[in-house]
Amino acid sequence: MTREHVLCFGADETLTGIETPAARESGFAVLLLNSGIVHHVGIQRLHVTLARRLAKAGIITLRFDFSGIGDSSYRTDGTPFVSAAIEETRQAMDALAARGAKRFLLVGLCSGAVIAFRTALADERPVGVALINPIGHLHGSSCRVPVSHLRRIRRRHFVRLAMGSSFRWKIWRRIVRGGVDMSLVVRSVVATARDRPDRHDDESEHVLPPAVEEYRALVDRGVGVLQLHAEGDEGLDYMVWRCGGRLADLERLPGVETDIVAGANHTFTPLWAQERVVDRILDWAVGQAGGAIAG
Amino acid sequence: MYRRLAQAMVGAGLPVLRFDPTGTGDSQGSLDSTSLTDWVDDTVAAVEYMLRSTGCRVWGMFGVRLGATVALRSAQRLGGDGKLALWEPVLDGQVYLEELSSQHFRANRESHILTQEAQVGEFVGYRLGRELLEEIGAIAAGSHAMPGQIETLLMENETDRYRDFAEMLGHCGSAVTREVSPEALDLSWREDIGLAPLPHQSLRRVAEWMARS
Repeated sequence: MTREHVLCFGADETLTGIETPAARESGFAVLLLNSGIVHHVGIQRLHVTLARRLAKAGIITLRFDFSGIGDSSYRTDGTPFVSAAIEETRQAMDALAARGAKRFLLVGLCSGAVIAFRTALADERPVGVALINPIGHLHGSSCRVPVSHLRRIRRRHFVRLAMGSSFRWKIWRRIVRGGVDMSLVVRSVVATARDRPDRHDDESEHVLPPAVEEYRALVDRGVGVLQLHAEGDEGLDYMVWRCGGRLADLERLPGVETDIVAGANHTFTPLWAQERVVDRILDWAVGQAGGAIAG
Repeated sequence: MYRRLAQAMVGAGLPVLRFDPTGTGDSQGSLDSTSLTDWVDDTVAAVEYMLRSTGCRVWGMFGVRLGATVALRSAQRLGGDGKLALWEPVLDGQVYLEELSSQHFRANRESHILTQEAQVGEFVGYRLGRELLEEIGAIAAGSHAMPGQIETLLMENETDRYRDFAEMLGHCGSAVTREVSPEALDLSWREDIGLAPLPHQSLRRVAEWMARS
């Protein structure tokens, strides 16, 4: 049985997490970041499962709650969510560093992936980030995706699912049975065919930093990046739309690994999909830790 | 939700313990190797710990759906002075399992999931073990051991949904307060993990009732 304990940290110790100690000291620690408003156990207890498997492999984990989520207190200083979450992730690293951790891997799903990415850009301590279904992380420091962008991403998402995914028969069955507005289907296909992924046609897009360069900033520092996408998730379409023709350049960067879990949804609901995610993250984390946990 | 309720109760002067029974949340174990009996044991142990550590003589328990059913069974074991707040307790296990199944099928139908052969006991991302499934399936209206003279608050989504059950509790000596919750309890599966409406009024009401001497 893994003996876990509560760790309170941050200013006035208002942030709360569960530390899962490793079977042996390695100085390597994984931080599991909140997904949306799901507290530190993770969606379908994913963080609990991961933490206990990582601990057996020799890696400490901390699964904690950002302020205002789960067991952590609210902030009252009005800091926007992304800035606050990055600051709190850095505080979590401080707390683990005080307990002997030296190198950090950040793991997150959905908004957790966004915070993992932006924290690694802002702080030099993470040596790896696992981004599970990220969306919005390449929209500057606010990570806010305007509605006009979302509309284009969602059209692309729908066309990909209907034309070239494992779900296409399921979707076409719904279309044939009248469960989907046919004119919407036609409009989406036409609009996506006309839409060049890297075309920047509104003011806000001109100020976005080049996506590939942000990844390059990480890998130049030696940060390993795992991108894990569910086939049914919009994050895949976000990456295509945001990076355009340079997506292949991004995926070829040394240290960047990209995997797609075919047949899975955003939150990896089926048990088989959860097992795939846990196994993949575990393999990647152990690979990142390398000699530090050997023996 | 439970944190909010705990804060409201603490604000009213009550010491509170929130805990996860075996195989759930932060506790050890998994759902495929636990049982309702384990959960009742855990709950009784939690109440006894609180009575011992706080010096209180009156216990209180709050539970939602299956958690309310576990609280009911635990109250029967504990006896003594206590207060029980039950929100939509599960009184028919077969109906409850059918609800879980229908949520599972809805998730598969509406979400981008390529359906593979479901594992036995798989319900929307969780696997329930055989013993737990059997015990839940055996929950039947009228088969509940009644806790005796315990003050009980029954929160229901619709008027008279728990009328018969409240009468049974009353016959066993409980002082029962029935209330339609100001916000309907919706624990159905949803893929959007950025939204979860909190039933503030209902939680405040439970805290007020629990703090009333």
